[in-house]
Amino acid sequence: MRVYLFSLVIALAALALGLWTTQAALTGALPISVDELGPWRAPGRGGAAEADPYAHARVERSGEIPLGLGEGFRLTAQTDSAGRALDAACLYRVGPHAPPARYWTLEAIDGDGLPIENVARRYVVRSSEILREPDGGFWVWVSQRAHAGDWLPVGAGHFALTLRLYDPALTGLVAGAATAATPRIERVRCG
Amino acid sequence: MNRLSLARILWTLAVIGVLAGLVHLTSLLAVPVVAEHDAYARVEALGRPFATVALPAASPISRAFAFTDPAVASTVCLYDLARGPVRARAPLGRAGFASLSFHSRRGIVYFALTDRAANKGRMEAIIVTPEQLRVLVSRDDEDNPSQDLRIVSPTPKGFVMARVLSDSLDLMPAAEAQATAMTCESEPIAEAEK
Repeated sequence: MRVYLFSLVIALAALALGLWTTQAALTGALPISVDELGPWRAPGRGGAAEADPYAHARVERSGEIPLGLGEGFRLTAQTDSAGRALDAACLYRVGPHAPPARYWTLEAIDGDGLPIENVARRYVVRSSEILREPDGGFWVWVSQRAHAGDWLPVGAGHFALTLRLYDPALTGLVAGAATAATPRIERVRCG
Repeated sequence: MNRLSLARILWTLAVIGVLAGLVHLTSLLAVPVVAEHDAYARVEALGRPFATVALPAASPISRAFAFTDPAVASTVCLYDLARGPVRARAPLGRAGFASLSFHSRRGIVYFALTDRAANKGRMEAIIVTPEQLRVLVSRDDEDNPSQDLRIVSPTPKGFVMARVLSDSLDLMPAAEAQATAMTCESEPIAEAEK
């Protein structure tokens, strides 16, 4: 009797642990098979044919139609460059450089990967429409209240930032080279 | 006594670890199979095969397609290779970036091309099964080779997606028009001449 009970406990513990790690890996709580570039995370190779099982399962679960390797890739940041969770009560600036690509877009998204409702109805900032310094540098301002310059509005509460690179010079992510080029997310002030 | 129970605890933990690993791998590999709302299912709900349908523009209201770029106009066209190869065509416009991607039934992007690969003002490719490719290759004229870009689809069904980036919000309607001009059409192989 004790042997059966013992086996049952072991089986349940193994089942719980196994399912939890799968769930955690897919929601991003456990950073398995995720490339990190400063605050930016690339969710694996998405839907590419050579995607690993983690990236593939993540894409299928979200219903995302991923970009192909030749088209570009998507990076997402949940924190600023100092590692603090992004908060709509704060003002952030994102810049001054982006990895070399024909185009990039910067979007604020909610937990489901969808744009955030805002009074200005601006959901995205395009590389083709921003102001640049003489050296090509830029700053995109992320905040709830309108800000001078290139402003990306967010709603109240938690949000994440998504950077999409179209026709990038680096198709694969060369971690060292790309980290230097990914934009910083600086918290300017809060409240 | 103490050493014995320590050994037993370690043993138990090892058994749990191995079993948990098996559960983890099994459930991970099962996700794409059991996921009901995968990309293909959502695209299938939008329209019939061989019809070009616009994906609802990403906004807080339309929540069907997560992680789509609000700056990009997207259309999809479902295909089925049962009646023959399928030709996908997308004309170029003034947009700064346009691409075609080819998705299998299992949600994998097996091929993608951008406007850099365009020829005669359009992106074009012909989707085939491995058998159809064999037939086409066997009929190729060596002196006058086919100009078609042939892509082998890993599954008989799938979809093509066109993405057109708008340079600014004002150009979004133009991008939508360009994306909607994409077509995918069945092109049965002619009967062999006798």
